[in-house]
Amino acid sequence: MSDTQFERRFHDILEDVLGWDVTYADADGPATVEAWDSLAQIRLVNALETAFVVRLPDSALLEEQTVGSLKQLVAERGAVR
Amino acid sequence: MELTTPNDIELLPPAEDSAATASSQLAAGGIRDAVRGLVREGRYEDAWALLRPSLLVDDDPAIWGLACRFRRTATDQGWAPSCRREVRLALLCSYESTEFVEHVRVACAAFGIALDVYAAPYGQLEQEALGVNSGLVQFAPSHVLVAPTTADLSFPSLSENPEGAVTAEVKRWRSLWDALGSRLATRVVQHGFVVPDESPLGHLALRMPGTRLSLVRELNARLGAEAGSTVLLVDVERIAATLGKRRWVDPRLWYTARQPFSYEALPSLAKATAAVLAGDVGLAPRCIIVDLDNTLWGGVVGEEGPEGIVIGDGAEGEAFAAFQEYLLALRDRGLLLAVASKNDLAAAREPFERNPSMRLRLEHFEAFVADWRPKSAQIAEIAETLGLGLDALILLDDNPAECAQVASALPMVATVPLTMPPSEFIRTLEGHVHLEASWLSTEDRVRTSSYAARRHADALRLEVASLPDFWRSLEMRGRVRPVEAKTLERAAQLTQKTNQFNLTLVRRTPEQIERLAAEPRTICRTIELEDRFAQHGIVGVAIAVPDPEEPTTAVVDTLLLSCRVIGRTAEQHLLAHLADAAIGLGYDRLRGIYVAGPRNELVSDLYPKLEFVDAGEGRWDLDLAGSTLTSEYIVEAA
Repeated sequence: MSDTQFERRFHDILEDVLGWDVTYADADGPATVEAWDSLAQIRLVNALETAFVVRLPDSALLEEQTVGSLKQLVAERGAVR
Repeated sequence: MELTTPNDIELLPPAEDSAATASSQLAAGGIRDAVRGLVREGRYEDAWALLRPSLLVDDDPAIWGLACRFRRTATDQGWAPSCRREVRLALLCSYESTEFVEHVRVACAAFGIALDVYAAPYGQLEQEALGVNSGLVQFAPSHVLVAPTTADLSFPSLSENPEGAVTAEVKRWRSLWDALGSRLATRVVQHGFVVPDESPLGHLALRMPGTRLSLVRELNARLGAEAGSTVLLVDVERIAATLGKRRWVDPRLWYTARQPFSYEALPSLAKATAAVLAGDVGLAPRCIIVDLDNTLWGGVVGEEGPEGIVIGDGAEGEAFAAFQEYLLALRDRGLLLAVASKNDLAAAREPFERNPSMRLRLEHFEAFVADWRPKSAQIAEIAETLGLGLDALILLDDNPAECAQVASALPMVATVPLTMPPSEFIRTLEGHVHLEASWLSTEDRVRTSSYAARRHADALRLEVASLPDFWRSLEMRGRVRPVEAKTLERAAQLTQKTNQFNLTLVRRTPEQIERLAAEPRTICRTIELEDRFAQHGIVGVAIAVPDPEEPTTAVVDTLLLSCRVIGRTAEQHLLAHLADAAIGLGYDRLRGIYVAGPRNELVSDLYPKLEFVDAGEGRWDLDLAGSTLTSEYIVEAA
């Protein structure tokens, strides 16, 4: 999977969970995105795990994350970028 | 889009599943782009038309997640899917239910139910049910879903007193149902309990009545017996087992978010719950139409002959035979079967008459159409013959082109292409079609023979000179009776399901009818009909209530007949009884109402035909003092 394909899929999932037709930057997180509450984060983690067929650590659910940190966690676990 | 190969990544779930996940993602990806494109153009209806079939067929969490996002986005823009029934659902549960509710909303929309939801604060089951002015009471739900989990049960891992432990839990849920039923005119739906997948006692657990596994199994069985015909149960244990317990629960979600099932489990649970609701409000399918060649047997009868087709022997033959037996079991529970086949009629009938390996026989079909017209024309004729709406029909056909032709010409008909090997037909049908009945009444079981009798009666109609001759020749006997405990279910079922001969289209639950029947000045009647061919069971309901402004006028609030007895003068028999009962209660006028709906045009002129006088605004009056309303062709039986 190329970088652009990874990015595109990652952003598709962000938009499906947080709201369509919004561009999310790597620094975005609960502080900057209104829809990003604890439930949205759980949805996000589950959707990413299903789409990239990876298992993220519990910290992805329990600790505050950003777009960039989640991207990092997914990439570290094998989704090639 | 290129997919990651399993070698590149840390695998979860295991390898054999990831292939399926990957292929379904591909499908989800294609649909996602199309749906988002349509939503950008504001074409919500088209986007929903694209999503809905996938939701009915598929439990893929990616597609369901997409559908949840679509529904939220479209609803914010004021869009709502067109629906055929409304349900006001109150949810009493002991866990974080936001995601479950989102999925149930989508599932209900897919089944044609407009859903209003009230989610009680979690863990407040008894408080909400018993509170005088709780949010639940104020919401006035048509259905209450009681959704606990196994974690709510006070079962130890090994009980000294298993009988006492189970009885205490049965009492707890039973009294919750009773409290809801006695205080609200509502239908209770209960989620059953999932038997835990861990067993500290290993396989010994099965031999010990006091283990948590044995207790939960016993509790499910006892709740089923207690529920009877009044409470609807969703067999969550069976759905969880079908998916696999390890995939059903994501322990991480339970500990972090108090959600007792995984994202993968949500679609099937939501769909099962919505299917049970759909069955209860009369949206379950009524008739299964099958193709013949390569659907009921292997090969083409026109080429191989009735003995040459594949049925009964060999791997394929056994699979086709098992499929026929499954269809027979569906018929036994009250679904109608029909044939629509492109064949010569004589050739199409031959296997049923001459091949001893066939499980299905000609008499099992309520309609049998074999000719060379388009499938859609054949199906329209079947609907007409059986007096059913197109939305009550399902077509099973091995040829996807035929399914597509029907889907495009008659979009209300559900189509299931049987393109897989015959060994997978039964699972495919179970996965596609949600055949939930709220209760199997005696009427359901006799219904199939009654439809057969209707065909005999129709044949007889051709032999007699006039309609009155026909009616007399049927030797009909009716029994009009006040609604009572044992007929409540059937009366409610008729108000939910009847669309054609239904003057007002008022839908009621058994609880609502029970309340009405208890009012001193209302009249609630059912009619049972038999003729020389068949017992039709309870086939009609009439309810009259006092007019709020004119207390000596009785308004016919409900008047309906099952479509299998239309054209038999049963309405006249029923109305004559209603008039007598109204006179007995001191009424001097009977007022009929006609409310036009999508399929009840048939009865728009019923009242004027029976010499009711036009009182304007769709109302028709009959002066009871001078009434000549009688029933000539139906004898009232004792």
